[in-house]
Amino acid sequence: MRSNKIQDFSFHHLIRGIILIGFMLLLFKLLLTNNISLLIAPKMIRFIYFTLFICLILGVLLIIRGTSGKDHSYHCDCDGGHTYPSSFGKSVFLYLLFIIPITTGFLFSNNVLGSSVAMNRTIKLGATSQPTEQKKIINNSSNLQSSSNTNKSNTSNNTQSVLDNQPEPLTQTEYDALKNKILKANMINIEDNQYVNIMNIIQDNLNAMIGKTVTTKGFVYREKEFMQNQIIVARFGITCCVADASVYGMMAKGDVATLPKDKWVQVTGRIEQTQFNGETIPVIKIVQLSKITAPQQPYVFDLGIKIE
Amino acid sequence: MVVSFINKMVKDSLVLLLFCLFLFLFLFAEELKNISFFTRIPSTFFNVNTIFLSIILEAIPFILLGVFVSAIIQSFVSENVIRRVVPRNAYLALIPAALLGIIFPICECAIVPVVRRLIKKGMPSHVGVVFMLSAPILNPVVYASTYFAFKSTPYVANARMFVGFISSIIIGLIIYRRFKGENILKVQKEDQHHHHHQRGNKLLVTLYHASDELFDTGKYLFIGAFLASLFQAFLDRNVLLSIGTSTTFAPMAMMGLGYVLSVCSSADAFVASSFGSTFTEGSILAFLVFGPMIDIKNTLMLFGYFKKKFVIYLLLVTPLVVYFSVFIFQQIFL
Repeated sequence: MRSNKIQDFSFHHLIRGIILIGFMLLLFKLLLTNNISLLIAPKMIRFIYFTLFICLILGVLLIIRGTSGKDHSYHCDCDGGHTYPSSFGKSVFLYLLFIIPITTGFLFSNNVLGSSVAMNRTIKLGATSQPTEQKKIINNSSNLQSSSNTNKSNTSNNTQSVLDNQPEPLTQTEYDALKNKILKANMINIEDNQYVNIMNIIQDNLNAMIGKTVTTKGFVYREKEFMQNQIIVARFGITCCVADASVYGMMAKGDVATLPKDKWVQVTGRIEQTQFNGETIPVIKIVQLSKITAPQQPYVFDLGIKIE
Repeated sequence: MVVSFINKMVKDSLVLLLFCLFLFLFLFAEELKNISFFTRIPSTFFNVNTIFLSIILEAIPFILLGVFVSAIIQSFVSENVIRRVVPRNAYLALIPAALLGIIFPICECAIVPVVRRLIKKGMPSHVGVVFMLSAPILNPVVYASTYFAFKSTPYVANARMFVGFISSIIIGLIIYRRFKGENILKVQKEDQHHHHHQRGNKLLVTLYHASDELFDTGKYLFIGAFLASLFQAFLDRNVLLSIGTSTTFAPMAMMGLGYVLSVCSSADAFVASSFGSTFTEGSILAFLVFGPMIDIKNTLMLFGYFKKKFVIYLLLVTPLVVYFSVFIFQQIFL
């Protein structure tokens, strides 16, 4: 009876070791194929290296522990806090819980989110501080605050800069430089690496943007209320991982009725403004539209702004 | 004798088979994708899978971190240290506990094992609970990301910190009144426990310990992440927009959303900002405060570590306190 129990434990150690090694292999493969960037933001990848390393160590250790059969007497002094499943059925359930995701991870990690997910999310087409009926005083004050943004961030957040761990976000000065550049430019190319920032600048300063020529890439997405000639050239913006993906994009108007959803396009046109769901939003009047293949990195990353 | 031998054979071959499966997938997963069977799977399955994987990949490093911190506390911090550090006055102890996150910016995944360990080591339960609820909100990383996500309305970040602080203290007080001196941790067969003092390597013991805890926590994480990814893929957030302007119902709806989405607290501000101007400030705040405190994936972890009665109590009290804090805040400041 007693020996049976010991046997049972070493089996658990062994199978847990293998699962950790499997998980390690999955991470390794994701890094090799660069599919990892379809799941989490680049700034998180160093944590994946850390995890890979730890999983390897723990996995090898557990396999040794499970095969050597020497240290049955091991008892951590943690008040019996750890439990092993008591029946065969429970073991199967517990380990399948880990094995199935690792398997599907190997097989389907190259999936890219598209319209079907975008449909369920809210999409930001205009500025956040756009005044609407139900908010009265707040919005006026918030607009004021956004103009004095620079000063505010400089004074109130000195303490945060040390612990701010985002890798290469723009500093406030760089952001302002980018903003000035865009306000002055006549041709704006919305590049992937500054996508979210440029979109925010365009949405927040819509009046100054009207008439400028803009080029943007994205997949075709339609809201339910859209007319035949309207699409959104959309991108998923990711902060940490795909779970927090939000949809960014700009409405485009033109001869687009035949474009299938999720098709990647590059659109060039002039910025105008329009009303949508009670908000004033920018819209691109399409001059030129070309179908493109999906880029290697379909997501854009929200690096944020370094607070100094 | 024969039975146990066969039993061992079966188990060993199972383990070997599993290893071969992983190795095979590692080498040939690309080739497998062309099998026609897979093309018949609906695309929503792939989306659920992608979101699920990404939640796991994001959370696992922090769970590991939490597990290691917990193991380090277990090995190197004695009960006496904790007794000395925590203020004697039960009410006074709440305030430093709520601010501890500023020094230890731990997210909601990592904090559960750490807090359990601290409580086990003698930290009063209500102090541990306050630390657990406030650390994922009141920390510099979260402040920075909230500040950026609401760049045009910077007071949102401050309000989030403030409301998070107040509600975690109130919850701590309620927990103190209700569970004073009670053990809120799950008790697991402590009686049969026999102390084998480990002669061997302390590092090795710590690592064994960490791996056991990883699987203990991991199973709840995996189930929680799966549920969250289902909600992520199928819940149409635009449904919420219709009640977004109601000051009474919008905070409730957004708290529910924060609960089911289980987005990490350093990223949830961006999700909240995508709701933009359609929602009231109060409801955005409710989302930002409640989501990091309790969500699907850490509910499951809580059930794994704490007594059922306590977790259910916490699950009832937390939303109520957050709701009323936000409601009052709304009346005074917005």
